[in-house]
Amino acid sequence: MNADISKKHYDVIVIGGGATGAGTARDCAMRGLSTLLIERYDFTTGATGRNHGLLHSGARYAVTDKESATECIEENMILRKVARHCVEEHDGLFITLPEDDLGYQAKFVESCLAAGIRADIIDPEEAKRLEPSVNPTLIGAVRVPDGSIDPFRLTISNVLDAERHGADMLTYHEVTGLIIENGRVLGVNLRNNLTGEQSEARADITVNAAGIWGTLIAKMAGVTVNMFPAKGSLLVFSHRVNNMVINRCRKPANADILVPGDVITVIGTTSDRVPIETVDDMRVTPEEVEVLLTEGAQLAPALATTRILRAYAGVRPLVASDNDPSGRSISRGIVCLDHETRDGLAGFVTITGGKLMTYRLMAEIATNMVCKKLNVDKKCETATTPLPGAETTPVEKPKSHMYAFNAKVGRHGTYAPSIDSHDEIANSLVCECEEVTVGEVKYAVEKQHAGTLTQLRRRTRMGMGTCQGELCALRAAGVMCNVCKKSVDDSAADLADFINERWKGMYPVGWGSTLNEAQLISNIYQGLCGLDNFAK
Amino acid sequence: MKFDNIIIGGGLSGLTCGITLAKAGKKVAVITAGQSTLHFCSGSFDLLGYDAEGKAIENPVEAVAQLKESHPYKKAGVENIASLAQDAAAILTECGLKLKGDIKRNHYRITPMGVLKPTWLTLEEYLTADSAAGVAYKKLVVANITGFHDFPVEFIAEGLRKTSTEVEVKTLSIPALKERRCSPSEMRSANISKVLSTEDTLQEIADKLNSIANDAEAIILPAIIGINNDENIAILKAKVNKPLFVIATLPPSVPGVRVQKALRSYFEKIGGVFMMGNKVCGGEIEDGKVKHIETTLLPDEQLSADNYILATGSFQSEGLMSNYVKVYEPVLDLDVDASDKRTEWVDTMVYNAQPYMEYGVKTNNVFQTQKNGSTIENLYAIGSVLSGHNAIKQADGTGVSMVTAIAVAKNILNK
Repeated sequence: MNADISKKHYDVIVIGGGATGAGTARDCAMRGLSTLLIERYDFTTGATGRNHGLLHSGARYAVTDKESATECIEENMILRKVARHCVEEHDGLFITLPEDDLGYQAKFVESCLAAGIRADIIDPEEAKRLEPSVNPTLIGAVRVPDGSIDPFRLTISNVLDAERHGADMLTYHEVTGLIIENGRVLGVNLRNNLTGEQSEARADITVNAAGIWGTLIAKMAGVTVNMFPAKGSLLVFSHRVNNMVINRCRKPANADILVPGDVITVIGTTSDRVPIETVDDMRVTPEEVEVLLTEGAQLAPALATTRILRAYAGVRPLVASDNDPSGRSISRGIVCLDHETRDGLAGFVTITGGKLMTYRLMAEIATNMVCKKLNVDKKCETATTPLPGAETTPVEKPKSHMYAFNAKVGRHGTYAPSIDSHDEIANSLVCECEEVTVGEVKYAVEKQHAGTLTQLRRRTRMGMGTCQGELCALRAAGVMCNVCKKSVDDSAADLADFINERWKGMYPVGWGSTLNEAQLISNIYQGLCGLDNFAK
Repeated sequence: MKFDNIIIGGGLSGLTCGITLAKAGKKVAVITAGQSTLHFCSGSFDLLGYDAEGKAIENPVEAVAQLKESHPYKKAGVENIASLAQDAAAILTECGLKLKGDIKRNHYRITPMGVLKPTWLTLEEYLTADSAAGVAYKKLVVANITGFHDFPVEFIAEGLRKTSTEVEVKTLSIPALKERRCSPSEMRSANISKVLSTEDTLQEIADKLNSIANDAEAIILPAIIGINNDENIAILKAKVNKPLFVIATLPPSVPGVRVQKALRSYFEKIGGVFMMGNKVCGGEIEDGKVKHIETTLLPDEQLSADNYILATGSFQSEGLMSNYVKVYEPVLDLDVDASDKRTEWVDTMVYNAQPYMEYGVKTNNVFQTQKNGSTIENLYAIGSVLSGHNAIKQADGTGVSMVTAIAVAKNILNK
C-alpha cells in the first residue's frame, strides 16, 4: 500500500468502487474534501458491471413507483449531458402483445406523463418501421426516452474526475473491520487482496457505498442494514439485434427488457432472492436461461436464432425499510442512513438501494450528508459539470492514423486524443472486434488502473465482442507484459484466469454456435498454445 | 455424377483419405464447404501426446494399448497404428512436405506461449526439442516483426529461458511492411507472408537478421514464410549465416495453409476431384446404404458413389452441431454419441476435460456410421467427427485424422 495513504488523515473514506462509490468520491472531491475510495477488487466488479446498461426513462416504474420514475427521468436527462460519451440516445418502445391487456397502455402513458416522462403512443406499423426487429404481432406501442449507458465507462469517468480533484484510489483493498472508538468510526482496517498485507486508513467520515456487500460492512460496524440480495440474470447476444430498447407494456416482470449497447444486445432480467453467502459467485442456471430466451423471443423473435455470447448475473442491493425486518415492503428507492442519529454511531454513513440510473443522485445525497457533518458549505455541481470525456469541446480529428479513432472517441470522448497514436505501433490493433489499439491498452494501464486482462476488458471492451477473446486476449497479454512490466508467468496466469472467466459466461449457454466457438477457443489456447500449463 | 468414393470434408482427414484412394486408382471426389482447421495448425502432427493422467508420452505407438476402448485408435487396431501412421507420414512426404520426427519417440514442439508439447512429426523449418529438457541451442535470438502481435515473443522467450537457453528478443522491419502497418488489420501472418515472398524482401529480412544475430547459435522467426510452398524458406535460409528456425504463430497458420495446399494439389495431381465451396445438404439413404447426395452448388445434380466418407470435423468445423435440446450431425442426421442432457455437455471449469470434446458420430469397429440404430454400410466417418477421445487433453487430433482416414481407405479398397 502506498505509504502516504496510511499516513494521511482524510475527510472522507468511500467504501465501494461501483458507480455509486465512484460518484460519491467524485462529488466529495469536487466539494473540496480530501477523499479516499477503497475497492476490494477492481472498479465495477459488483452490480455496476452486471446489469442491463439501460438508461432508464423511468417509464418502467411509472405505474408502480412514481418516485423512482421521476428520479429516473431527471437523472436520464442529466446523464445525457454530463456523461454523453457513455450514453446512446436511441429511445425505447413499450410494446403490447396480443396476450397483454391493451387497456394497460392508457394507464401507463398517463403515469409516465405524470412523472414527467415523454410517452408517445405510436401505431404498431410505425413501431415496426422504427424497430424492424420488434415482434410483428404487436398491437400497441409507446415510445419513451430510454437509452443505453456503459456502466464501466461511466464509473471510470467518475474515478478519473475524482482523481483530478485530488481523491486517492485504492483498488484490491478489502475492508476487514472498522476502527471504532468512543462511538465513532475513525477509519477502516484493510487487507491488500493481491499481497495479503494488512493496513489501515483513517478519515472523519466513512461512507459505506458497497452495494449488496454494504450489509456486511454495516455488520462490521455493529449496526444492522437489512438488505435482500436479489439476483438478476441476463444474456448477451452476438450482435445488435435491435436499435431501440424494447420493453413489454405491462407490470414489470421477468426478462422483459431488451437493450442494445455498442455492438451487442442484452436481455434481462430474472429476479430471485438469494442468500447473502452466495453473492460473491453468481452463476446463471439453466432455468434462468430458459426464461430469458422464451420471454426474450416475445420481444424480438430473431433472438431465438441469434447466437448467445454469454450469460451473467448481478445482485441488486434491495433494502427493507427499518420498521419492516421481514422484508415485505422492499424499496428500490434510494436509502441514505445516518448511523449517528439512527444507531448512535458517529462518522458513518450508508448509501444504498437505488439503481445505476440514480448513482449520481445517490452520490449527491450521501455527499450532502457528509458535508453537513463536516460543516462544509459547498453546493453539488455534478448535475451540470461534464464528466471527463463528455466536455462539449469538439474533438479534433487526427490528420493520419485514423484507425480506431472513432472507437476511441466512443469510449473516451474528449480524452481520445490523449491516447498515444503517434506511430504505427501505437496504432496497431490488439482487439479487432472492438478496435482496441496498443495505445489504448497503454492508456487503460497508465490512466485507468487496469492491471489485468479482465480490467482491460472493462476499460476498453477488449474481448467483449463476437470472438470473446479468441486471439486478442493473448495479444493483449503480450502487450501487457511490456506496458505493465509484469512477469511473463504472472501475465500467463492472468490470461488463464481471463479465459476461465469468459467460460463462466459461456457454459450456461453452451450450445449452438457458442459451443462451436468455445471449442475453437479451447483449441487455440489449450491445444495450440498450452495455456492450461499456466492455470492455477 | 458418379464416383467410386465421395468424401465430405476437405481437411487433413478428408484429403489423406482421398489421396490414399486416388493412389489406388479410384475415382474420388472431395466436397468441401470452406477452409479447414489446418489453418490453426501448430506446424506439427500429433499421434498421441499425453496419457489419461496428462503425463507426456514418450513412445506413442506403445501407449496406444493403454487407451480406452472408445478411442478411434482402438477401433483401427492397436497393432495397426504404427503402419497406418507410417503410411500417413509417407503421404505427407509425397505431397512435398519436409518433416522430422520418429514414430517411436515423441519430440517436442514449442507453442506460441513458449510451452513444450510432445508431438510426432514437425515441419522441418520449426524449432523443436528432443526432450522436455529443452532445445539443442544454448543461445538464441528470437526476432519478431515490429507490430506483429500474433507472435507473443515475451512468452516464447521466457519458455525457452526456463529450459536454460539464453534468449535475446529483437524486432525488425522492412519498408514494405511499414506500409502494411498503416492499416493495422493487415498485420496478420498470412498478409505478412505475402509481403515476404519476393527475392528483395527476403534479402532485406536476411540482412536485418544477420545484423542482429551477434553471438547467437541460431535465429528464430515467427512462422510467416512460405504460404504457397517452402521455396522462400530455402531462399531465406541460404541468405542467413546462422541456422534459422520458426515457431508457430497465432492463427492463421502460414505453414498450415501450405500443408492444406500441398495435400490438395497432390490429390488433384493424382486425379482427385476437389469441389471447393460446395456443401452437402442432404442425401438419400435406402436399405442401409447411401444412394446419392445433394449439394448446394449443384442443385440439379445427384452425386453418387459406391462408398461415402464423412470427414466434416467437430463442432468448430460444424461437422457436429447442437441446439437447445440435442447434439446432432447436420449432413445426414446420423446417430451421435452425446449426452441427452444439455447441462452434461460442459464442465464449469474451462481447463477440465470438457465432455463435448469427446462427442461425435457413432461408428462400429470399421468406422461405419449408423442412423436410427441401423448401420449404413457404405458411409464411413473419419477424423474429428468421430467420438471417443479428447484431442486437446490427449494431443492426438491430427493423428486420429490421418490414421482413421487411411484405415477406412484401406478397408474400402479391400472390400
